[in-house]
Amino acid sequence: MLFRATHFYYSCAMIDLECLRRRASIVNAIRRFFDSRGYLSVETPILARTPIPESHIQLLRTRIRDHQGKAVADLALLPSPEYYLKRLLAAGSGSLYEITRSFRNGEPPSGIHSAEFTMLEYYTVDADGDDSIPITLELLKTLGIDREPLVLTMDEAWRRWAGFALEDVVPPDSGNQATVRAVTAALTRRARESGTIGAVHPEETGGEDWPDLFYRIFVNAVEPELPRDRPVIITRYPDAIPTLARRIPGTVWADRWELYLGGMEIANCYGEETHRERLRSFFTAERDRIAKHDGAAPEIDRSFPDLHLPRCSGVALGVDRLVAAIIGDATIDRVISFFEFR
Amino acid sequence: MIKGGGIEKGMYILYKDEPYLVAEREFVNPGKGAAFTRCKLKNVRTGSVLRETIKSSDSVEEANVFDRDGQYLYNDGETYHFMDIETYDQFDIPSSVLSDKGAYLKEGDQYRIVMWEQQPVDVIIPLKMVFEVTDAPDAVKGDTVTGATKTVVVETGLSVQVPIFIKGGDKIRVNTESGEYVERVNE
Repeated sequence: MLFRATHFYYSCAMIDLECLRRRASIVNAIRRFFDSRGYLSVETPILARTPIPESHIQLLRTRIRDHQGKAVADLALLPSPEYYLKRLLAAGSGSLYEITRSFRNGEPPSGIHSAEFTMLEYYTVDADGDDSIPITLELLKTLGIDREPLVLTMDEAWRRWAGFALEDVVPPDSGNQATVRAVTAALTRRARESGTIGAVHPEETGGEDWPDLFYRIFVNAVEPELPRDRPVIITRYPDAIPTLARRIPGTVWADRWELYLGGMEIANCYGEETHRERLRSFFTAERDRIAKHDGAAPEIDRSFPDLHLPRCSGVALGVDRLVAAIIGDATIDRVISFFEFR
Repeated sequence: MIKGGGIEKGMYILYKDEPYLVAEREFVNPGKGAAFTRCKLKNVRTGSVLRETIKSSDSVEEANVFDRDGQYLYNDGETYHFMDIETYDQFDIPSSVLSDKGAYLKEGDQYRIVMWEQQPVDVIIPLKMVFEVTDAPDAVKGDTVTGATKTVVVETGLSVQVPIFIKGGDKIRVNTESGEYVERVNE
């Protein structure tokens, strides 16, 4: 039975039982896929005192009290299960996966965002980012997505749709401020010449940093051109965008790819960074960015970089968007029960 | 000034010193990046369309664009003359601003005029309008093939391709974007 209220994005709750049945069969198929391949199925906490610091994410927070009303802990609702999954990997779990609720604050009413959403994360040990591609494509095939995917590097995507080579304008070393500034100026020039962006004035915006400029051009000129009729995997993201992906040695690229379906960003994969010093400098840099933005440094887990993380590759996939893509919807409101504005 | 994240469809913004209508607006938040608003912008003066991506934290200036009502009086080829029915002020719009729309304006009717910095930059006409046919040639005898059309002229001087059964004095509905005949109107 189908019961649907008027579709105003911010108000009425919608229950589409047919969609929920299809969602159930998709999620069950995902579980069978990983269970049958020997991935340990785990449930890790959603609440954490010290999430991995990520400056572009706003956290939902809550306060735990004891039986006498005394505040015990200020916790965040995790934006991804990565934090605890990596601690399990370091403890010798082997390949594992989790389907869980993740939380992000400050998201726009885009139709494909929700403050509360479902994330699938799977980590394969003894694997790099490229090894996760066939696993992911095999998973998609199991779910009925078997069209030949388009797999290309970010540099190729820029040549094709931005009109110039990205490789020429990536900072070789993010630490050298002068080089980064020079490269950022060069990238702005190339983008203006090719018409991929119009009136960006980095001087007026207080000096745009390279990752923001990269994404401004990518969102404007490249992402809209990605084919929507088959899976698209963009590999070799620039290492100049700070993430927990390892750098591919001797290159300016990270071991990182993303999957698009129907024009929607569905999954993000890393060949995970395991090196203690690089993990520590990522944590410090992100913590400093957050401190600058919020006025206070977040509490971080200082022992996380010391974890003996095995060589592994992790994929974080938005299940709501995946289900929407499979049923042919361009938004996630039908695939989430009681999807009111969150 | 508003933030990029506050841009709404239907708003008018200044971009490179030109007034643009925000025809479409999409929020795009790349997973590992900043938040952006991707817009389809339509130049209010020229009608040209472009796509631009604005960071949600960027500042954007709203353009001083508003509508006023104007009664169309007449045109002398170069200029179209309108009157504000409340103040009786007369104002002109050059035919370059109107381009093809001039052919649809009916004398005495009121239209919304889009103004930018005190200059008229566009006239809003309904998507479909009804016109009286003033000049219709007779159908050629024997022309019985289905879908045969002929050219007629309506009260504003506009030429329209219509089915051959349309006669002088008939009222027809025309799509003002494509210039195509929609249907005969019986009043």
